[in-house]
Amino acid sequence: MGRLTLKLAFSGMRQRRTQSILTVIVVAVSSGALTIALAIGTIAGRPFDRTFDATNGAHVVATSLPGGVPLDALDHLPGVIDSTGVRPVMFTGFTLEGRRYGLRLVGVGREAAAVSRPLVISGSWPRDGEVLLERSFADFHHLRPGSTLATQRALLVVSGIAVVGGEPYPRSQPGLGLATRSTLTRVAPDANEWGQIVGLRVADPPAAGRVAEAAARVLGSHAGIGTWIDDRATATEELETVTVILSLFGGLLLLAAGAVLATLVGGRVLAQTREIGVLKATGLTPGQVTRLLVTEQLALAAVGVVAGIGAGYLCTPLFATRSASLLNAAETPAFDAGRGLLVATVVLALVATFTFVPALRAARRSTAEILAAGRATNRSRSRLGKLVDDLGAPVPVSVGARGSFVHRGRTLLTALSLALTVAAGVATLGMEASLDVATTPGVAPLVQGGETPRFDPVDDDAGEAGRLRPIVYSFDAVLLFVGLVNLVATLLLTTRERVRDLGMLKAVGLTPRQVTGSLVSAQVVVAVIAGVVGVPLGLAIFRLGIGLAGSTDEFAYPSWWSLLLLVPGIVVLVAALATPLARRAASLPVADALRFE
Amino acid sequence: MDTVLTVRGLAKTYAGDGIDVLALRGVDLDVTSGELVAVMGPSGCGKSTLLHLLGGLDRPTAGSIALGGARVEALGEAAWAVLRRREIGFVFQFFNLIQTLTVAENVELPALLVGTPRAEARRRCGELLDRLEVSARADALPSRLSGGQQQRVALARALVNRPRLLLADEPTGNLDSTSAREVVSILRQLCTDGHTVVLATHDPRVAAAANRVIQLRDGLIVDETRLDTGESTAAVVSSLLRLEV
Repeated sequence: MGRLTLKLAFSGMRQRRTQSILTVIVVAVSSGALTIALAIGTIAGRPFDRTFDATNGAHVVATSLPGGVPLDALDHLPGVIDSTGVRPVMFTGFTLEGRRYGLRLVGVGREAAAVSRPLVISGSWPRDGEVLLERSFADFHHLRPGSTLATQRALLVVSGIAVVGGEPYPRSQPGLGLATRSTLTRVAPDANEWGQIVGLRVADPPAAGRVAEAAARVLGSHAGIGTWIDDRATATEELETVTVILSLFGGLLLLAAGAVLATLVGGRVLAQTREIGVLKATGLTPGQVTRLLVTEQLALAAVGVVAGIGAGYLCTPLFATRSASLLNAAETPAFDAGRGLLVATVVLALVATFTFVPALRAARRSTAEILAAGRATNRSRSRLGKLVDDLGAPVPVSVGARGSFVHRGRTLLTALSLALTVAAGVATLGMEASLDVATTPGVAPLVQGGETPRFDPVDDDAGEAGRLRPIVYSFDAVLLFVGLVNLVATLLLTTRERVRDLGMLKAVGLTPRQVTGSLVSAQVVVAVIAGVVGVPLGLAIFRLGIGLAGSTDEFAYPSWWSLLLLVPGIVVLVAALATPLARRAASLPVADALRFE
Repeated sequence: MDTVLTVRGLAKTYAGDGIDVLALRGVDLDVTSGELVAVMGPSGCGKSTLLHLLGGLDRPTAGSIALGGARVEALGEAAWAVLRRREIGFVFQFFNLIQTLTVAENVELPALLVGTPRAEARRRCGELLDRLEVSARADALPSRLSGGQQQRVALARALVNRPRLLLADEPTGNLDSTSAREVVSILRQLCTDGHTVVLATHDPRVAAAANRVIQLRDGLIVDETRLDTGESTAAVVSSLLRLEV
């Protein structure tokens, strides 16, 4: 049976070439979407902790003003197990495109220390005359390795970009750069203008507060002391909106990927009902038929998974790099075998399940029943069709409305997939409204040098909101793409199954334009349902996100009129996509359509 | 009698894999009002192709078709569709009812397409379903009906716009003998009522109900027999069986 199964499976793939290609595309889209969603999920999940672990962050950080108390004694406090060593810190400013910005320079050695070790993601560790910039600061100002910063006394060359713990710029100002002591001397030759900073690792991190209290007793009120617990609380609170929005979109992407898989794979098996009957009539057992279909689908899915994971990894940096910068999270690696394996396992398991269940159900029916019901349709009257009739819609629209629920399960999944796209639209509008509430705050620098501006002249729109928008819009685009792929798949399957019906409609007098109208109407009905379901679904998901964040202060709901516009928007989009496909189906000669098996 | 249909030199060639298949090779045919013409012949002789061309379901390669004196062979798809819904009814071997519509909705559909008010379409549908004895199943979906009942519904749908011409392609080919007899009887009655019917069939007993039988072989009319000469049905069937051999 093994060889026979393979032979029949591969001949099936060749015979149904369009459907096979469609399966590969849908599986690839799902796998790609899952790959991106998992990467974003990883980044959005505990971003502070992940960066803190990756940089071996300091549990207690102490800073002193220029001419203040020395910090050397802190390394020997009880409970301290490691330290960055006391580093000089100074504030300066630089000019970029005619505007002045602040810069906090921290002195570092020739090599990175073990504690608060920056993760260099591009370029290299700074040498004399160079500066290593914190990522969110560099990203915000579009600074890259090789760029220059003109301070009052010295021109600094950017040696590289690094991930450093703490709040991202511009929430935390001024921006951070790391440079050698020699470089600091070039910028500010008088060491009396320098402050000090030290980071401590402690034996009992949750009890870092006790070490901070001990440090405060040693230093008095002349130094600033903070713990990683305070930093985490601040970062988590400040980045709550972004984290929740990214998590929501990652979740929507997961759902959409599952819906599109179920629609196509399950729908394809349903469309093969008559072939299942023929296989049984030629002597295959229900088990053999099921194995055959599962083999066929898994072989196609395997190709799609490989293509999808490849595309996902190519696209992931487009989302992940910006998201990580926004959350000041450690970036996900470009290729992660574990994540790839997880995506492949999940997708193939879903494909196997979505194939196995309908295939087994069909294979267990009697052969005669299957053959007779080769073009099985819903066996109950269409209430939706009656409603459309009652509304006085034209005949083609009425016929189309009845046709939209021929395969109820598949239509519902398509509607769900589109509803998720609409829900994503609602979440995007919610994000826009929320970003208007949560504008970028300014944070006063700890030490105010003579030439350092108190706040950078940062435009709110160019801040967090400006950087979050492209990520969310990219998510919207991917979700829309997934939803439309689902729609096209459904339309192609439905059209193929209804070729005889379409021929019949033309035989009784529908013009090609009316047949096109009928097919498009069927999809428009699905789009209307998706819109009507998607808006409240999106609001519910958005509300759930707010609930998870535990605070309503940072969020705002979208305006009612923008929500209302979403429904006609998705309808127009679906109609525009369905029309050329429907037109093509309607152009098939009637005699050919009526001969179609 | 008025001539409803005039066909001259009708030909159809299908392009195959490197070989062209000549389905019809120049058919001439005249059908008058109220006539029932049966087209007989073996499988692949061109019966269905002829009916498809007469109904505009396919395009001829050559020749002309005139319906009520007006040339129609060059009409476009949309014009044919409009012509079909007004002038031509179609009945198929496999019924070809629209599975998502109820019996009544299937029958009303062509009437609504020509702009008949919904109430009038419903009235005509009711009349036809009564006449064809399937009114009890008006609200059922086609899949719930027997083959004979489905063919009656298909007939009702074909007749709802009172077409000038009814084309029936193997209308009894998928029916048991009792249902087949009933359908033939209905077709015969339709002609008596003034309809014109062209039907394709394998079955000499069905053809025996016709006024005229034409025999197709390899895309050409090879014989034509008038049956409305008062002969007994048995004699007619017997002569048709001889022609079939």
